[in-house]
Amino acid sequence: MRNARIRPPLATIYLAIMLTGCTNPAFKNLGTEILSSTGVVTRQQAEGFLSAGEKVVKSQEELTPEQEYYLGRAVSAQLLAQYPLVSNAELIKYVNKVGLAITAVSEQPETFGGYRFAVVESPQINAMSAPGGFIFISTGFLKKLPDEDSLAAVIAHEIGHVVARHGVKAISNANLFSALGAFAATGVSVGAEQVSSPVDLGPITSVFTDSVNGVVDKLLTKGFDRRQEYSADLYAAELLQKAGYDPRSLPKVLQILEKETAVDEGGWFQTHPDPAARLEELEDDFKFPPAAPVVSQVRTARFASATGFIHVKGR
Amino acid sequence: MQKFLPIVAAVLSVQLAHADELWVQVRETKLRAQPSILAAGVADLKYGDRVDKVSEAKSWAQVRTVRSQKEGYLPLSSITPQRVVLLARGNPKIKADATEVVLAGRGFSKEVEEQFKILNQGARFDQVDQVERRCSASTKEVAQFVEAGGLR
Repeated sequence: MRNARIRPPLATIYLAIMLTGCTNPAFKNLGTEILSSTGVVTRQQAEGFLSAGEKVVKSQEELTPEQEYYLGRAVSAQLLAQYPLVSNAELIKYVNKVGLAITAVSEQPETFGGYRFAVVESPQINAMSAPGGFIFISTGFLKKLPDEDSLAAVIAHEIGHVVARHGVKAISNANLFSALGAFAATGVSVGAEQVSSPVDLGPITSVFTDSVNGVVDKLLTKGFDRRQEYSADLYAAELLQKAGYDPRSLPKVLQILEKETAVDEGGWFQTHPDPAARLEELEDDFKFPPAAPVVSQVRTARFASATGFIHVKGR
Repeated sequence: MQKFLPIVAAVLSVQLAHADELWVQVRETKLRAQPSILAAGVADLKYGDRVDKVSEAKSWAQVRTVRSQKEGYLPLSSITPQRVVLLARGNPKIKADATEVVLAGRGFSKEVEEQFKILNQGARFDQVDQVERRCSASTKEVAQFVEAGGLR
């Protein structure tokens, strides 16, 4: 058994057993028979193998942070095929400072590869987040924002999607189950020994591709579920208050968006619920402070300095 | 049979373990002097490092590093009670208590990304790499930014 390796057909049999009925005792017995009949593993080892596999499926209700990171990279690579990056160093640094000031007070102040805030060239009003903490805002959106607190509101909303893993939830249950099954089939331990299966990347790559496409479709076309958008708004308001920004900047942004709906139907408007409905929902759920805090001159000045150069092409 | 040998650079195994034992599940992080990501770092930690839990409050855990016995804080989201074992390529003989092994997390990985790139040549991973290189700010920069802007 030492260094035993599972041949592809065996891994396939195992995967089929896991995906179709590992919790059914009758099916499990059949699986044990099939595995032990190959002669590669003993009956006892086969039982252990299936038992370990059961734990794989039960324990992996969601992707690990590392897996989210690779999913987020691929989703971002697809988004960046459509939206060119803005390379202005001052703006990039500024947006990242705003973003990290907000993530610092969140329940997830860091991700596997770190939060990344990028600005993309587009006349459309748009902001998107990919799993793992890749967050994008368009120059068209930045140009419509009046101050740092409004920018913080947009970013906080996107952070809300990342922390709540709305991107990962865009993967269909069937795909996620296939993914977890594929992970299970590529290596488990049996007894006291590590069993390494041959790595057939084909099935995982296929599931990965479907998952990436599912998330990209949500971000660019379908949009997240309405309840997910409302919850991201509510979380954003809480984060803004916690970070020291004016939480009323979020309704302010929604009001700006409402005015823009008449002239822009793509981007954010295609993928987000009506701003008026979001505003109403938010005001029902969040208790906004009664008076405006003193507007920070420092924040006003640095916002103007970092975003002043933006010229939106196509507008 | 050789052709079926693992080609991945790292194999991740996750095990259920003692409740006070925790493993770092982000690529790299710092043990903080206070439960804040902007607090001073007291030790560098990386993916798979083990720490022992001292206490837990809100979204942070007070922990002690196994190697240097330094105490500090880590976000709960950056640690997991499941054992993370990195099996380096060419060294697949690291053994775990296999009865508790629940995952060999090759899953979505660098290797799968490479396959995806071949199939999706229009995807701009070069731009993603640029985002990872350029889109960031240091803890010190963010702390100064927060203070100057009257944030908290």
